[in-house]
Parts: sequence; structure tokens; C-alpha cells
Amino acid sequence: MDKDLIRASSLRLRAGATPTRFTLTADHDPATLNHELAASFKLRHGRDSEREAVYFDTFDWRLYFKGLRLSASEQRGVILLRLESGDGQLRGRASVSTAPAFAADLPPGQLRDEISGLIRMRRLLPLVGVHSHGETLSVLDKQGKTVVRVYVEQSEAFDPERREPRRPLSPSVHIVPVRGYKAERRRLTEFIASGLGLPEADGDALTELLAAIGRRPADYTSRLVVELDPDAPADAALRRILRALLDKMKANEDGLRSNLDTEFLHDFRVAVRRTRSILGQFKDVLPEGPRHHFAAEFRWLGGLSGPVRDLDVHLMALSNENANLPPERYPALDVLRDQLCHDHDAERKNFIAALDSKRYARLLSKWKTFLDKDSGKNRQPAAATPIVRIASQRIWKRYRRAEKDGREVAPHGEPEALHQLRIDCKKLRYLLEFFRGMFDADAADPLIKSLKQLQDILGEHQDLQVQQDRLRKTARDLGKSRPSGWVDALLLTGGLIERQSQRQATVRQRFSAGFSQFAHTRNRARLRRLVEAAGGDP
Amino acid sequence: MKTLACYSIKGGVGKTAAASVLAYLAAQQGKRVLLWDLDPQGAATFCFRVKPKTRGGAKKLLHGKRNPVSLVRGTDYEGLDLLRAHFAFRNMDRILDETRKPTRQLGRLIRPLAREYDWLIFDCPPGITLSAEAVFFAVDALLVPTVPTTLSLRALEQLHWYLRRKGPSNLRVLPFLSMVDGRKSLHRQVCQQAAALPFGFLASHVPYASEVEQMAVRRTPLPAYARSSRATRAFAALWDEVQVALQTPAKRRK
Repeated sequence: MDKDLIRASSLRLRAGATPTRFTLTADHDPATLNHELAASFKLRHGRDSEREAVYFDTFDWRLYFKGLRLSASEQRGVILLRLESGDGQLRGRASVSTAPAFAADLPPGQLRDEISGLIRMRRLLPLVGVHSHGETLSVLDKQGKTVVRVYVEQSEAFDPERREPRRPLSPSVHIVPVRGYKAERRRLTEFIASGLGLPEADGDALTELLAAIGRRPADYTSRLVVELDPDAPADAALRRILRALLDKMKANEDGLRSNLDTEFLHDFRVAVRRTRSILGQFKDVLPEGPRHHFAAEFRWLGGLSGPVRDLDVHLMALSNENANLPPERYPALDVLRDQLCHDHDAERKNFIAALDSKRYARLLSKWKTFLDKDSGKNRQPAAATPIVRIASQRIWKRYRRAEKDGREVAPHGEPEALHQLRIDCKKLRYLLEFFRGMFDADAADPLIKSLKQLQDILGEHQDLQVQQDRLRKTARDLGKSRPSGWVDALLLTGGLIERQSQRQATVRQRFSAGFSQFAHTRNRARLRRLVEAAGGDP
Repeated sequence: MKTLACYSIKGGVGKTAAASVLAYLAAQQGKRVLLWDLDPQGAATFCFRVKPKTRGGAKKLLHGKRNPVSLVRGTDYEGLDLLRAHFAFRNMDRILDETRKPTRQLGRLIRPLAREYDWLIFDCPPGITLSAEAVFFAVDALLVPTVPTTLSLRALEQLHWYLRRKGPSNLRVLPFLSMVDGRKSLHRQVCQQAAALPFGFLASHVPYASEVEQMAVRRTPLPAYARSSRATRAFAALWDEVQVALQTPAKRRK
């Protein structure tokens, strides 16, 4: 009977990816399933086992978006890392002595090669843990060789901090493929799905585990996506964007406090800057009194986080300097790095104190109240104008301004002038990104692309400028505190300033080409089309 | 990916046992390992209960027109895959000879595997042939099981002589004493003088033991059924030595 059942079920289940997880129902407890499988397949029973694993990914889900799952489990005193594709296929393994953090900490080998290009300098953060107990069954061929593995298990999800009790999941059956035995895997899967009628589990194991602790995959993205109705009143549309930005700030707060990855602070800062940009560019839409007040408050917040971010970038740049220096200069580099770390800690402490302050709490609560209520009698003249018209006017104006400023500074402008142009470009980029969904993507996207290229040049130029200023300050501090090895560190600092100044000159040479691309007549025509389509008058 | 070949000019010296056990031990350490059974007899393939391939594809594979990944089979042990023996590997010399630069062919062939594995271990057939020469140019090291007898040592000497003239200059040669039978005075004598032998023997000796022979009966790698046997411990020590030897850059042979 069972062979017929298998054959019949094979015909029914076709097309699409082979499912890998099924949920056990009331009719099929593990013992019944065992019995039914044994009647149709040659099985080897493994020992009942308990296992615990924690899934890792970067804060912006880089592995998840590439269909990869990284888990770590402890076995006999070592931590075994497994990299799998979404369907359970093993893609890499490695054993480590401590929980994974950065790609550089992983042992050289195939797993590191596979993920280092994806996660780059991002930190691996624990997402969710799983505690399972159950049995491993091996389906064997005529030679007695394993061709598919089946885990019949009862799992519980837990948050990696273990702040909450473990959450039980439904008992499940995992089918784990063995390389080179696709037909056998399909045969077993078909038997379980159609022959036994077990329902396929919703989503993959990671999704289910995350759901159990109240999360979902990719629940955070750095991108700002706000759907806007082009005819919506400008006032209401801007509030929607500002609310989304407030959510971004809050989403990054825990991460930046824990200081596990510099990118939490980066995204927090971007949300603050975008907020400030709206407050500054829509004076005729948002009510004047509150606008002034919040602009000043967010300037305060942005100002405190700036030095921390600059030092994050500087320390990352310094970690690449090893490659440019002979090993005998490493101790001097370490003295310099220690000094910068000291500054970083001090600035960070300042910033965290601000986040813990009443002023910050008051800012967030008042800001939320402001965003949720109607402007009422304080309504500005352009508040009711359709957002698409206001947005296109602002974009056009900002583009012309950046174009004009760029022509004035190019090609031998002072660092301050280039920095000003950088700010203009940032404001334009934010506008294009806020309202991108309302415009023709063919016109907006190439413009954003060329703007991004120009911003990369300007950003690198500015980072080098900030780093030189910081190195000068650090040199003065080293001269005062005179730690061991300070003379060599001072000499090295001089060399680094010189090298950065040369690199800055090289970057500046690329400016003309980047700016010409951005200010090309093609881009202006695109923008004109975009504004005209929105009913504006460029 | 690091590459190692269990190779000897002589047959019956424990190449398959060493290749299978070391591949298993590497996988147990959390590495991804591919064991490539180059021997048409398919002894390693048999030990892992995989059916050898008997028809089709070998020529295309050796001509570089077929991705070797398609011949890979997962074993009973997670992290350890096997590129099963092909009966047509008996004609490997002839097939390689039809290609341009035959000794470089195997090196080209294994390149796509580097993305998937930490270790590639070859179980080679005996003899100095064109295919053996192709292995010399494809791997980081040759692990040479050597029975402590005059004829085995002579075969090792022949290998050194051959590699000095025709082998790649950066190939490491790692001989170790295999199938050491403590009851035989010659074996005991050679073992005592191993450090003084001219070929840079590894310190680990693998004893002659019936549980090693049981691998073919049980079709299971030794450590999986005799975890703490003397032979398993000797292979584990050998594996540690091999890893250390491959961590340092190869010296050019004079």
C-alpha cells in the first residue's frame, strides 16, 4: 500500500520549491510519524537529542536578503557556526571559541569567504534563539547510506538576551537534504505532504522563531519608504514623513546605546538630519513657532552626535592604515588609536547623557504630540497646497542652488565651499528620496544616482578634512599628556596628516568630473520634466 | 581551500584509510571537506557507502567541460562530501594526455570547488603516472603513508628523486609511518630511527590495527566506531601535524 501511496502522492506534489518543514498535527504525534515513515522507508534512528542555537545577522539583515541563515550552537566547548540557505542546504561551517561578531574575527575558510563580502564591517547581532529536543531519523538507501535526514522536534524560541520565558512552537518535521540525493528528498517530501497530509509550515524556521518573540525578518531597513498621495495637503504629507523619521530614530536608540555597531548611530543621525532638513526647507508649510523650537532642539541633538560619528569613521579609516605602514610603526599607531578611542569614549558619553536627559525625553514627547495634532489656527499659507507641487518646486530650487554653488566652487574651491555644496546636495537628495514615489522613476533615479556619485566625492573630501583637524587636535593632546611612545605617535600623526592632505587633493581632482555629470543638461532636462509633470513651473 | 593528496608510489600502504579518516576528522572539527576518490577501484567511495559512477561524464569532467560539483555526494557525516570514484578514471592518463598542459588540468578543475570547501583531500591510486603528476601540480601537500620496510622507503626515495626533477618546487611532501606493526623488529627499528630518516617524516605513526581494516567491513570511517582506539588517536595526532605543516608557507625545494 505504501509504495502506491508514494507513487500517487508524487504525481500530486509538483512545481515550486520543495518544502522543507511540516507541522505535526494532532493525528500525527512523533511516535505515529515514526511508525508511518518506517513502514515506507528504510530508517536509522538517531539518539534523542537537545540542541540550542542562536541565529545571527547584521542590523540591516544582509544575510537574510541574500537568502542565508547563520546560526551558532555550542558543542563540546566550541561554538559551531552553520551557514545555510533558506531551504536548509549547508553552505558553510566553522568552529570558533567565542560568539561571532565581525567577519574579521571568523577563522579563515569557506564560511568567512562566503559572508565577509556581504557583511563587510557590519557586526553580527544575535536575532533569536531556538531550543529544540527531538529525534534525528536518517532515511537510507539500499547500501545503508543516508540520503535524507529528518528532524522530528519540539522547539521553543527565546530572545537572545533571555529576558523573557521561552515560547513554544508547534512540533515540526524538518527535512534536511543530503547533497546529490534530490530524488530521494523529493520522494520523502511528497510522502509527508500528500501521503500523510501534514501541512507545510508557514514561512521558514527563522521567520517562525522571530514571530514567536514578536519580530519579523527585515523588520528594519535603513531606507525610508513612505507612500504619499500626490494631492494630499503638504502639511499632512510632511507630518507622515516626519513620523516615519521619528520611528527610525526610536528603532536605532537601543542599538546605539549598546554600541555594538556604528551603523545604529549613523541611521539615527540620518533620521535627525532628514528631520532638520524638512524643518528648514518647508517654512511656509509648517507652523512657525513650533518649527523654530524643534529645529533648535534637533540641531542640539545632531550637534552632539556629530563628533561621535566622525570618530567612528576616523577609527575605521585608521584600522586600514596598518596595510600602509611598516610593522615597526604599529606601536605608534596604537598610541594614536588609544588617544582617538579616549576621545570617542568621552564624546559618546556626552551623547548618551543627552539621550538619557529630560530634555531629550521632552523633545520626543512634544515632537510626537506636534506630529499627531492638526496645525489649527497656526496653519501656514502653503499648508493645504498639494504636496506634489510644493515638493517639485523645492526640488527644482534646491537643484538650481546646488548647480550654482557647484559652479562657483569648482574646481579649486576651499574646503568650506565644498562642504557647503555637500550640504546643498544632501538637502536635494533627501527631497528626492522623500518624494521619489510620487515622481516618474525614470527621471528621478538617474538624478539620484549622479547625485550620489557627487556626494561620495564630497563626503570623502569632508571626512579627510575632519580627520586632519582631529589629528591636529590629537597631536596637541598627545603633547600635553605625553603617554609612553608619544614622540613616535606625533611623528606618525604628521605623516598621516600629510598623506590625508595628498589624498584630499586627489579627491578634489575627481570633483570636476563628478560635478559635470551631476550638472549635465540631461539631468536638468529630467528634472524639468519631473517638475512639469507635477504641474509646477520651473 | 587547502588541498592535500594521500599518495604513494606503492599500493596497499594505507592511503584510503588515511584520506577517509582525515577527511572525517576535519569535518568533525567544523570544516567543510570534500574527499575526491581518484582511484578507479573506488575504495573510499565504498567505505562511505556511495555507489561509484561507472558510465558517462569522466571525459567531459577531465576536459574541464563538466563541473566536478555535479558528481559530489553528501556522506552520512555533515560537512563531509565525496566526489565519488569513476570507473573511467582508469583511463585518466590517456584522457589527460589529450588535453593541453595535462599536468595543470586537475588544478583548473578544482578551482570552482574552492568556493564551497575548506579542505579538498584526494585519495590517489598508486604509481607515478601522468595523473599523479597532475595531482602534484594541483595540491598544497602530498601526504605519503610509508610502511616501515625497505621497499617502502625506497619508493619514497624514488618519489623525492622524481619531484626534484619534475615536480612543482613549492609542493610539500609529508611522509608518515603507516601500518606500523610493533611485533616486527624491522618496523620497530625504522620507527626508532624515523627522526633521522632523510625525508622529513611527521612524528605520528599509525599502527597496524585490525580496527582500521574493519572500515571496509563496516563501511564507516574509523573514528565513528572506534573513537578512542590507538589508531584513531594516531590519526588525530597526524591530522594536527598536517594542519600545522600547512599553516606555514611552503619552502621552495632545492
